Amino acid sequence: MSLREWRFWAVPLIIFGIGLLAIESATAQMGSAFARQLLWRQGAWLVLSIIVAGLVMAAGIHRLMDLAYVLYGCALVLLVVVLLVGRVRGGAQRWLDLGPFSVQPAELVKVAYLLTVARYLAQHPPTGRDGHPMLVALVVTLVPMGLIVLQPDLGTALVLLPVVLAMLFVWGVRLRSLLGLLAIGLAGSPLFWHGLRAYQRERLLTFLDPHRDPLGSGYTIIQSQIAIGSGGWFGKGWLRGSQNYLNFLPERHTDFIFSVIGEEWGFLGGLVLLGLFGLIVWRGLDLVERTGETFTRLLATGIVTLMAFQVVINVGMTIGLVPVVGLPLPLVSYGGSSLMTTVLALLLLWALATERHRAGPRRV
Amino acid sequence: MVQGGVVVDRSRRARILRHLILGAWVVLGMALARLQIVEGPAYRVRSEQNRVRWLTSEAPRGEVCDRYGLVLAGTRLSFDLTVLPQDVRSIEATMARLGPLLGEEPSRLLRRYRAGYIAPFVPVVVAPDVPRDIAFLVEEEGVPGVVVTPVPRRWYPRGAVAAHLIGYVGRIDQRELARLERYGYTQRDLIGKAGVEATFDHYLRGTRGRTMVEVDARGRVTRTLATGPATAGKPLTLTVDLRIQTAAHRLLEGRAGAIIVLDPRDGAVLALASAPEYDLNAFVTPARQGEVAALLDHPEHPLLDRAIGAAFPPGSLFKIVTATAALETAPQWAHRSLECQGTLRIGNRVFACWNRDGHGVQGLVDALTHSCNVFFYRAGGEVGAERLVAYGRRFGLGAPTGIELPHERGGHLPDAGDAPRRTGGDLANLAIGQGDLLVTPLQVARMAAVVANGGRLVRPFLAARVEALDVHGRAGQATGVSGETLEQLQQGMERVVSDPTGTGRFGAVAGLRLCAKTGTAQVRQQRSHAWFMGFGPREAPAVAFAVFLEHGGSGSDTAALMARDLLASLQEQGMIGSGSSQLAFHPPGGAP
Repeated sequence: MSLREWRFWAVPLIIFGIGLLAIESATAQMGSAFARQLLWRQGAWLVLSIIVAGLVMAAGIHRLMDLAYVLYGCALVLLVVVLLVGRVRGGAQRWLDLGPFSVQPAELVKVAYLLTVARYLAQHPPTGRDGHPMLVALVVTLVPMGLIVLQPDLGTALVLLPVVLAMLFVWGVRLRSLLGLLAIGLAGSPLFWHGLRAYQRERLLTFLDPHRDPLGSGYTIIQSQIAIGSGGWFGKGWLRGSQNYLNFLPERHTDFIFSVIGEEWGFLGGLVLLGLFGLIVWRGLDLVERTGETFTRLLATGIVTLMAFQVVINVGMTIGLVPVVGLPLPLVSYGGSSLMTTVLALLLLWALATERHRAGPRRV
Repeated sequence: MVQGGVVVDRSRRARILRHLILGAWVVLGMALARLQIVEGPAYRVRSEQNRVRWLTSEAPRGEVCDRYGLVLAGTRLSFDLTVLPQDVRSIEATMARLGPLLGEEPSRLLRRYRAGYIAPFVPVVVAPDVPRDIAFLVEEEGVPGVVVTPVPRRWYPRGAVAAHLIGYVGRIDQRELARLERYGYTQRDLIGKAGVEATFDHYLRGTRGRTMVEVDARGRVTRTLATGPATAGKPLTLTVDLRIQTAAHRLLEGRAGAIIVLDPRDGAVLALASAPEYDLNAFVTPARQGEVAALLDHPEHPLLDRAIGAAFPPGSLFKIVTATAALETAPQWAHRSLECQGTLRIGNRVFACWNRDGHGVQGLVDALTHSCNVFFYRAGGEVGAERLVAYGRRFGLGAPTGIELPHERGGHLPDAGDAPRRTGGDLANLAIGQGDLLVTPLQVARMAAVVANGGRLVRPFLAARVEALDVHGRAGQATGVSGETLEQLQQGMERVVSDPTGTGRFGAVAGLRLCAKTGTAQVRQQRSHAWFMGFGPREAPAVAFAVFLEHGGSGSDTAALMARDLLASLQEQGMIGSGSSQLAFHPPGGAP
């Protein structure tokens, strides 16, 4: 890793910079002192994330792979702990207090989870009768998912599904098995519907028709669409989005940060941001295609899918394309845990990419 | 273990994954383009609607003045206690502080606040029209969110004088709003409800001030974007002379009836009073709402404008019409004499003259002087109902005069098609003004004007000037009544007053050649209505008038005496006199 490899860190840093500008704009009119601190806190979170991720990465990618199961176990313990002693905020128990900061274990779990699935599947290549490894991968996914749904945090839990499916797909699962899995999933969806909390059902119904309750659950979607739509080609200008500064957008510094960007920077601004995310994903996919190492391919697939899925769902919900599930926009939304996870994931991707050029021992 | 085929398969799958993700990006980009570029302009409008609100301020209404500029309806500065919801932390606490200052129950204030609440940025009036000293007290106290708002309010400095004529304002109702919405009236507008306030509302009302403000998602004003000041309404000058109006008002006090004074030359209304009257300020003072309810329930119906809004039997006044019809159809009536023996037999019924002893042999002028029934039974019998009705119409009976006041009644004349069938007793009754004849006092005053001005049916009017635009009275419509006939009528009417045996002798005013006619309309089981109509001075008529007293007794005494007092006071003030015509309202550069 060196500064010469600027193309690895330049793009995420630009995205983060855009995020800072958007957070500044989103919080400029919020009266509270806490709101005014958010910009600095986000900066502090970046520094902290880089330090933590750097320390983790210092262990080396292979040691991390060796430790994957242990990390996964620790992650599950954290998820249980947060259910027992976590801080309740907005009706959900998602946070663990750590002095001045609080963290969401659900975010941090993602990395350990990715390492675990990648290692397991890499060590159990497809034999043509995928039953056993596929089921193990699914169980490894469903256990944290279930714990996260209990918080409840539907968005974060749901992210794990496309990730495991993509990893299985690239791993070489038979299409027949994959389709069977989807069929079982569809058959089970009424059960899923019954398992949802009332407010989550409400959100899904609202997604289908935001105007069924324009002042209640549909309010956020409608106001977000008005914000982004009114941005037009070039946007209303930084700090000048009326939907933003007049408080029409709820959650605009976190999950709905893209509404602020869409309103103030317009279609072109939104396209630039999507393009930057696209660059990261594209390069990640290059690695997936070119690497000869199964572990690398699977981990890269997981990271890329995680990133892409979050971008698509987050932007999609702000423009009314998908239901509101409550997912942050990586690197942009305010929130330390998500930032730390993203930084860690990107550093892992970077390490995988650079490792390929070295003549390291081939494992698997 | 890693076979070539499987590896190839895997990189193919990686490419599929790439295409899937690429596809998601394209969909996202297209959805964004649709929202921001295709639907962008529509969302732009919606974001503006989210952001912009209008606040309004009341505009002062145009003044209504009499012909000399004395204010009849003006504007006073009042103070409303308003609460701006967005600036109030606890509305209960605020009301608890306000209550003692206003001397009101905080719970009542709170109820009024809740009823009036619209949005955080719209001030709610919790105490309208508070006294000045209380307004200052509240201002000094400085209760957060409570604002003393100066509001222009209608004010009627003359109280009950000319109440029916001026009218009053009130909140627009649903029916009015439905009719007037397209002319820019809004839900919260005040609108003229009666009198010239109603007819000239369009001129009198100003244009509200409008302030464009930006509000946030909670409806709190964040800044002002633009302001348009309120424009005052246009002033209206009436033809009314407040001195005459006041005199009429005083004379009618304690009675039910009407007094109308017109300028016979053009129909300008000098006074138009109806009694009982009521204080107009009750309608524009929030604290006096109870009085309004009492007025509505009052057995004497004070809100009814008896001058124009109700019609009564004319009694002997109609003899003017009968006399005209006779003279115009057969000019020899000017020289005919008939004998009155106190009664007249028509068919198998006996019709009485009011004087049972009979008036003896007399001509038409004498018959007018004495208001002889027998003479007019016979005159009417010869002329026929058809002509009587036709001449009644020429004098403007049976149809509204067209004065600029709402709810004017047209009275009633027998149907023209029905008239030929009226013979005998029916016809006799019609000839002396009994039967199914109804006239308004204004119609009667105009009838007097026709005799006075050489036979022109003028249209009574009230507006002398709207803003800077003069309104000219029109010459009116020729009735076609000949000069000879008018001369006979005038002679008879002058003798009604001047002759010692004239029915209107009590109305005589020294130094004034007054022409008049009395009327006493019998009402079943109640006191008769008393009429006295006329004009003067005969040589150059400056006023035509009608005095009407509902169940007032006899036209010869009560009504005549009241007319005398009215004319005497006008004479005293130099407004009329022999040969004088100072009253005529001739606008600069106007008609003769």
